[in-house]
Amino acid sequence: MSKYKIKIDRKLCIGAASCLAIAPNTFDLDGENIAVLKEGVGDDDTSVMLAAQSCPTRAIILEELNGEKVYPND
Amino acid sequence: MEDKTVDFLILGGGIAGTTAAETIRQVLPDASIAIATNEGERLYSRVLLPHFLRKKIEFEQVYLRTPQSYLDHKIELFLSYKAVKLNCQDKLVEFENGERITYQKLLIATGGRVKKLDIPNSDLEGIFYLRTAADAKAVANQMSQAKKAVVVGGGFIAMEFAHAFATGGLATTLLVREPYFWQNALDEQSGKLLEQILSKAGVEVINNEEVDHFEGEGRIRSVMTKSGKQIEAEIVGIGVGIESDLSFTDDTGIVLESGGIVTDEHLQTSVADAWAAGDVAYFKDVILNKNHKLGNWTNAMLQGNVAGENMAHSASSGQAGGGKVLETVSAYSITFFDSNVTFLGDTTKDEATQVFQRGSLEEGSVGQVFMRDLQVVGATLINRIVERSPLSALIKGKIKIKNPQVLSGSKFDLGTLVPSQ
Repeated sequence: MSKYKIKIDRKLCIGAASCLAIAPNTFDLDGENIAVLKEGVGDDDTSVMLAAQSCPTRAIILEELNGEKVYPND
Repeated sequence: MEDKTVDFLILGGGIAGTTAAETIRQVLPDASIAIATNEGERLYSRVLLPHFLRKKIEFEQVYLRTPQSYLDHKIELFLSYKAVKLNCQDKLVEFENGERITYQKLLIATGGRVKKLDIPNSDLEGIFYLRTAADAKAVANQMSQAKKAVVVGGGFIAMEFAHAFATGGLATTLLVREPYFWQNALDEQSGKLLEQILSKAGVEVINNEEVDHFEGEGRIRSVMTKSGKQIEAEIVGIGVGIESDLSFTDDTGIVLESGGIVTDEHLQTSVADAWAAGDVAYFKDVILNKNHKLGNWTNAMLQGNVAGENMAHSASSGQAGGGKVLETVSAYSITFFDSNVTFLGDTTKDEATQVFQRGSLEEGSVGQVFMRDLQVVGATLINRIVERSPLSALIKGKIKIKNPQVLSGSKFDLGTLVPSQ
């Protein structure tokens, strides 16, 4: 079970798709070129964190299951 | 001055270098890792610089890491360290500031610097290029005092300048050397569509015009064209490409080609224990089966990840090379005023055996699909973003299309060509 809750800020996303490149089982692009979460089992936590860190617009927000924000962390 | 010593030395602090460092840290919790960057900045988003110019974000928001995150990952960050000499035999890098660092494994992720126009008075104040955070700050500063702007170039940077200047309310003129914008990458319909988008936004587009020289006393006053036009300007934005300064690799045996460092599909260079990633790499692309250089964010990130993994495994296994293979369909996607412009895969015109056009200027939506024999290798899409997904699948899957003529039918659903999973 993933230790992260993943949120995508659609307003920030520009469709760079670096998240899909690193975590293709977790992220996809919709018809508007914006990242969305895929159904089903995603990628490991390391890949999910790398995906969030790779986003050039900081559109991926990772939270602990208790709601505490993990990334971005400033 | 004592030499510093690290297990992993990464030259370049952009997304490629930073991703590599963080990837190595994931694999090896105790290795010593250092990033040396010639900039005075920690990792920031080059992608967000135009957003900053368009005032969508504050400058502080371009940063993608805090100083603390480097400490948390135990990654040493050396700012304003410009590599001037690499010695692969002694595994030593000398920097401009006199410092020296020895390493076990090296990643060269030094990216590139802007090419500059070599014409009279091109060093006047108020004439800008756009690559670094420092560039963006300087442009924003000048924009706030300017009413008239000129943009020179064809390509994404010229587009970002025009977008920023026009959005900022500056009276903007774009000088296009060719009969239509970005002729060396686009067909006429695509080029004209971009010009139409620019004109609708109030940008004056002048074709078949080239800058002859700049005029001004210390600061730009006007742009003189080869045909004799004089265009007043208080700010000029130029986008004419980037190049990599690789003189520091002289005499190392590191093979260069087309201005980049040659790597195999594992991002390894011709020299043991040295990898390259990002804009600087002339890397082996296993999907297109050729080496090339690609300057986009996602590619740089992925290359850093693959190189980092391979460097870490090389260290722990003692194996010389191999490891993870870089396999990705490149994509560069921007929002240009209210339009979407996306480049996929290999869009080199003269390497395609055939190019199909989709859409039209009238429809406000144009695409090019580049073929190598029966395979799609690349595409340019303006306002056809729904086609990104099927085209990427066709490129990645190296799908052979028996009747490629269908690709020129705008209403043809490209998804039908993608084999279902």
